[in-house]
Amino acid sequence: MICKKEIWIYAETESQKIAPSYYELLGKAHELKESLNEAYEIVAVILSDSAEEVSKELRSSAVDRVYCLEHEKLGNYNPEYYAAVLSEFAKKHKPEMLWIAASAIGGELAPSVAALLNTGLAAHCVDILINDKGELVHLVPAFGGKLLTEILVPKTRPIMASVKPGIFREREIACSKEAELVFERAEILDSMESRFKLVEEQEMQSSGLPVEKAEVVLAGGRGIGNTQTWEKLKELAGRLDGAVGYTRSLVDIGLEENELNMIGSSGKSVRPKLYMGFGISGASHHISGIKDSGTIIAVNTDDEADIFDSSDYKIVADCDRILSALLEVL
Amino acid sequence: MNLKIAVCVKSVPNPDQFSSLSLDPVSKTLIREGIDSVINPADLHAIELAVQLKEQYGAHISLISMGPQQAQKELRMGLAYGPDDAFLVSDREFGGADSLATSYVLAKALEKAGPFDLIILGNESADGATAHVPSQVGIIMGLPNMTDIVGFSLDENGKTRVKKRLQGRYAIYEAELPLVIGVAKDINKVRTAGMRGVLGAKNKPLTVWSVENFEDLDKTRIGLSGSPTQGGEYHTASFGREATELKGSPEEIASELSNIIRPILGRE
Repeated sequence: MICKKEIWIYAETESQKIAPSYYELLGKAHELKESLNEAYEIVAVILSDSAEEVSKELRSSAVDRVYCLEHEKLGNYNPEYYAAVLSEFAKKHKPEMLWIAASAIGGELAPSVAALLNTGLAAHCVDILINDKGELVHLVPAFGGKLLTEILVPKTRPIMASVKPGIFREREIACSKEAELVFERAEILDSMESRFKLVEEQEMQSSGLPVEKAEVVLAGGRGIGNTQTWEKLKELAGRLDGAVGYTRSLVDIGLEENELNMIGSSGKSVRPKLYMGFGISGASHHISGIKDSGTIIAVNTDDEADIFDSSDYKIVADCDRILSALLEVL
Repeated sequence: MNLKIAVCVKSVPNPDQFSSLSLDPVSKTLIREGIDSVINPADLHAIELAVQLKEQYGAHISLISMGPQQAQKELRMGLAYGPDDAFLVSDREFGGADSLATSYVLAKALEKAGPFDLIILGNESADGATAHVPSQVGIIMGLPNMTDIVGFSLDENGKTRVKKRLQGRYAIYEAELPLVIGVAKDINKVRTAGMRGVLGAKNKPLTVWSVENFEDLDKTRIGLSGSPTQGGEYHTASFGREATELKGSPEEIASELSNIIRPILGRE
């Protein structure tokens, strides 16, 4: 029997559930499979101390096989254990492609596995496709998203790709048959002792709704300038049942403490029905994180601000005055 | 405790000027005329952490960079913040390297200039922004490594605590030196270099190494030909929308916006 080539998707879990990014990658894998000349199998790979529960969900997710790599040391994320197990398993089974969501964990796991396998990794892909020469091409942002560049991995295998959560869309895929479940103990960890010892976890302090899940996002940039204006924006967001996002400037000037709800190519991608940007110049790394929003409204004092090229409604005005007026009517 | 710390730095086109980058419409090559080079912004936070540790415990700090000869300017600037010496790895043969080939050369340079107790990198570069290099340097050197670090402390016995950002939470790990970390910008506020620092930097040693300076370099792992990823054409990212401009007093604009927003929210 000739083995079919395999596209592996690393299935990340968030509190014992499969992360949405898995389904986003899966949608793209099916789309790509249709444009490939030879038959491929799509395979989900999960690392866990106990994969039984989540494997049930993966089983009917329209994949051909689910590899469940289990070991008691895989309960909490540990970069050394995760990278070792995934790379060893890839060495053994030789997938053609290996895709990993560039989440907080995947963003570290992917380059580590690529280095262990000595293979190429296309970072933060916005598309993966076959070009007119029949080559597998990854489109990745460069220079803060100002440009996109093509990345090919011509010689080494697997061809690795990472994708920021929220970039690909989930799509409906009919699941015709249940996947084959393969459980395997990650024996390599029996004799391995990580040099990192997890001692504590701390919840991140967040002021509200996570931006990536909100239907309404109000975001602020450098033009917000002061606490009063920023508070007005937050109040308006509350009235619209929306979330608050921001650019790096707000962290730099101290209005926000951390990057938790920072939007852009190095932060989160959002896709709300309504996005309103206040005092945001529209650096391309921010735009790449909002481009799939439904309606985009931008307010900026600078008539030439880049954000207006990516907006549906343009308002050249002072943010504070527009926010005050909106608080009167909404 | 006298620590040996290395900070990897990269000379990048000034991110504030990315909007002036353009593509030659015919050759599809990058036009970066008039754009200056700066130290990659995240790397300044790596330098700051090293300098803070030096103030606390005493340390010798070396800057390590791979790049063109002109990157000496950024290294001099980096030295103004307090590091002691700098090494630039520069050779045409290193050109066109992807993250893995870059990490390999940095690892070799770190071995040659080292050994170091602690290797600090900015979590990602502003231009490529893959955030691959800190992990890949660590893997190639066989050292424990971690990225997205927002807190770091060290006790007298050389035991460290690193605070890593995860989804909605932080994880704190203990690890021993030697260690490789990629730091996020949230980790600290960068001080200004000051005139004394800038003047002092002029006399600090800056060594340039070419391919010939390395005895055991695997040439199949360097430069464009040693890179597993190959870049194809550049494309202009287009998110094109046609904006309708709303004009008037803030009250008039707010009322018009309200009419636009309410149907989207499904409100009357």
